[in-house]
Amino acid sequence: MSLLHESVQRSVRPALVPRRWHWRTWQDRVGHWAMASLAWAIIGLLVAITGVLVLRAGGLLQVYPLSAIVFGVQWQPLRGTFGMAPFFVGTLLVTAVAMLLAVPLAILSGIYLAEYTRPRTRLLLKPLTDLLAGMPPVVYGVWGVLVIVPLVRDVIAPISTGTIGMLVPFLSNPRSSGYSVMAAGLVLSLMIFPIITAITEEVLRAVPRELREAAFALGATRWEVSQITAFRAGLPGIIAAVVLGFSRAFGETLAVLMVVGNIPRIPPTLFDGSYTLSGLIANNYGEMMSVPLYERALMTAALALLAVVISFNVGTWLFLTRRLQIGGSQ
Amino acid sequence: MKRNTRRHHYARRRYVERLMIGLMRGALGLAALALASLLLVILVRGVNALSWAMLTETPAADFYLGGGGGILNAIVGSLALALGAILCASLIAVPGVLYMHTYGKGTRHVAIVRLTLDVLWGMPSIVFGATILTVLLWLGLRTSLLAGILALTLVVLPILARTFDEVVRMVPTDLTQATLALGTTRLELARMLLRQSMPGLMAALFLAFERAIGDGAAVLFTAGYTNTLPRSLLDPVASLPLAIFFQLGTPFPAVQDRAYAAALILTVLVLVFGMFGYLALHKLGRHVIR
Amino acid sequence: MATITLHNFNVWYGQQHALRNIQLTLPAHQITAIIGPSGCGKSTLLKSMNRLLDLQPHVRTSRRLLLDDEDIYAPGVDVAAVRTRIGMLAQKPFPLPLSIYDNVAYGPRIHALHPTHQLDSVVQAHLTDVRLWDEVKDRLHSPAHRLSGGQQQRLCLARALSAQPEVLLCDESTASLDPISARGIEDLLASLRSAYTLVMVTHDLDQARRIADYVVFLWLGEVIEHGPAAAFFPAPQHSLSRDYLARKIG
Ligand SMILES: Nc1ncnc2c1ncn2[C@@H]1O[C@H](COP(=O)(O)OP(=O)(O)OP(=O)(O)O)[C@@H](O)[C@H]1O
Ligand SMILES: [Mg+2]
Repeated sequence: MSLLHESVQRSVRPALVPRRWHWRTWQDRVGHWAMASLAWAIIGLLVAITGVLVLRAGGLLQVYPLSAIVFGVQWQPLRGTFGMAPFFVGTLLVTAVAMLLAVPLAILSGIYLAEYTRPRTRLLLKPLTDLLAGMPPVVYGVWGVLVIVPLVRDVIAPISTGTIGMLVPFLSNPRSSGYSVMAAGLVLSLMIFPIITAITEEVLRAVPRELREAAFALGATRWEVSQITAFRAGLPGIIAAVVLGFSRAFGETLAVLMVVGNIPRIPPTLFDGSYTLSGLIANNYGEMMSVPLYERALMTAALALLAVVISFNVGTWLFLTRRLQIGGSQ
Repeated sequence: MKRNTRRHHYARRRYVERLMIGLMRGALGLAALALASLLLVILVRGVNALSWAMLTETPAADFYLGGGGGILNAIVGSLALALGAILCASLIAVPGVLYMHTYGKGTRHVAIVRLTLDVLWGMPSIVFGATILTVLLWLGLRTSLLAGILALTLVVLPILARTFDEVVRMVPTDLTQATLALGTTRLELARMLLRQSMPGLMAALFLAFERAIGDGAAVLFTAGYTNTLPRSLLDPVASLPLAIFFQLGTPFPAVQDRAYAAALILTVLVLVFGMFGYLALHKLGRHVIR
Repeated sequence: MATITLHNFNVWYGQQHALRNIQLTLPAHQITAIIGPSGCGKSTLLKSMNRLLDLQPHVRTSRRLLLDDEDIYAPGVDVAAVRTRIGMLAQKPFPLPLSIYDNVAYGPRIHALHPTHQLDSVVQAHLTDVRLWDEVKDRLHSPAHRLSGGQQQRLCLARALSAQPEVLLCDESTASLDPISARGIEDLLASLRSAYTLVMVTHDLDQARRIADYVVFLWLGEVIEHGPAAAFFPAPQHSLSRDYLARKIG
């Protein structure tokens, strides 16, 4: 008859305190151990990478003072001078241009996608950002060479020189080749735009509907509601998006390499060529074995990239978990 | 408040609202324009140089001077690199993430693993390439498919892990409770979580594949470049991003044109895998609770 | 037997003292109804009994909760074993992301209760017991979440029973269902009393009157009154219980 009465004579009644480990307990323990060690391995990877770079870069730092690396403007590895200031400045300028252009536009677009569009419109617009986000850097580079470099050379540089450049010499260069900080910044800004837009949109859509409805019920306009969702509730997510965009721009290699001109000096204007840390590493890997200290200098450049990315990420993490009391473990 | 100041206030709010809408549409429009020009340029310039030989032949001896042949070596190389990297990365990421939601849930360790993954996600891929290269030099090895796979693994590991992490996080707590209430061990819970998040995992895999296939900086030092098809894990191997980069760097217009064709091929590959990811997310998973 | 006994049992969520000095013995093979106003700690009490409470962050318990003579919070206790012997039926039906068949077979499989060749008949028997067999026998291998809410809850009951628990905890298990399905589940639960120790939380006093053998009245984390249903409902001793039964409070 019915199995309901089987409970009276159960086939097993597991002891609450097991006297010996059963097969399942073994599986569980082994699974715990294996999965935990893989999770530790992820931390181990970052530690190992840092270790390798520190070991290699350390060799240069022993014979060549740090201040001379950071502030020196002469990059002549064959003569043993390793001033990296031009690369630091170039990297920072390119990143700054990209962030200034992309961040406001991307956040606005993200807000628009999340708060203003109907589901059907979003269905059309969303693939736009996804498509852009998936495009390989080298394709952006090709586009930069074909479209942005001529655009900077023939349109943006002349116009800027004729107008705002009269006041700010930094924006004035009548003979720009197009391969410039500006071109790299533009290419990078299109590269990080979809990343920030997509994350902003996702963050805003995760904001509970009730919050939005409560604000609307008070008679707020859509923009006023967006200010609450984006700059209060969604702020941590948006900050994370901006940090990711920054990291991407800061370390991008091929796309920048193709349009920045690769001239190792501090650029006099935005429309002059420059050089970035990542470009320095990428361009010189072939010859680096032959010159003493050269490889170590390149590893120092890599270490600099690593240090900036780690400190930026850890900094925001601390800010978000300590100051805003969110994020962290969950 | 006097009546007309209040009306004034309303007008100002409405004005701000319209201004912001205009700005947002402008921003999106600009992006759309840029994307359109990107796709159009790649398509127009690429189609011209595209030929059957590009897809099916390896480069002839004078290929980089404008001679015959194709970039089959780079296509196959890129697919092999990306596939290997995805395989390696998922071996670490999938159990690691399941650990974060079962045994390790809520612990400090897991918080640090997440932070590490975020750091790795932001790390320039050239740094991974340089690190692997250093290790190669220490070991006295040459550039190879295997080294390229290792560098790309570092690139896609955080992408795969964090995306999958978000997917597992979406699993309803009710499912966790329902499973545990049956007397399951945490390992069995992990398997249930994996089952429920399978479509999300597939989508994450395709996303990671897309990123792996497009990353040139990581393989620059590690995978090397050859004109032949890879025969073993220890041979150097060509890749599409580098094929584009090198060909564009030559002074010959005919070779540069082929760089555009290669860019078109890469773009199409990326779009196709992006599409698969989208389909995986929306069409897979018969048993998944929605 | 399967008696649950609580000795001075306490639960804290962080600073909040959610259950205070609970002193109870829940009789075996009877239906115990836990009643009380919203937020008084009914779910907390129920989740303490199969240690699902462990999943909440910052939760703390003190003193003892015994299944027969063993403290389920003692060190060395295997939580999975606790949950195997003390099953649960949640408020909302929540099928596992498996087929109908695999949902019912899940418990027997992981606990290796039956030889594989008997599994089909075990699944059929359990589905028949919850009166679901005729409705699903043609689509056993289709996804479980395509069933209706009432069907899903019956499936969840079959899934819980197929793991062969001794105690079954039900947290408002009929509350999210339509009246007909709710009545169906209620009747099923009532028919289980001879074989299981049932502990159910309910807001529906009429339901408690219909099927409970024993009643526990909770108020702000404390047991105000408990006793056989036959004595409690006609003549509650405490003024709070009287007010609650008269629906003046809660
Ligand atoms: N995870 C938690 N963290 C902190 N406090 C909690 C948590 N869960 C429950 N509480 C608090 O514990 C008390 C008891 O909650 P519980 O869910 O047990 O009530 P309940 O009697 O089941 O209520 P209801 O009838 O509404 O389901 C409530 O005051 C609640 O706010
Ligand atoms: Mg409750």
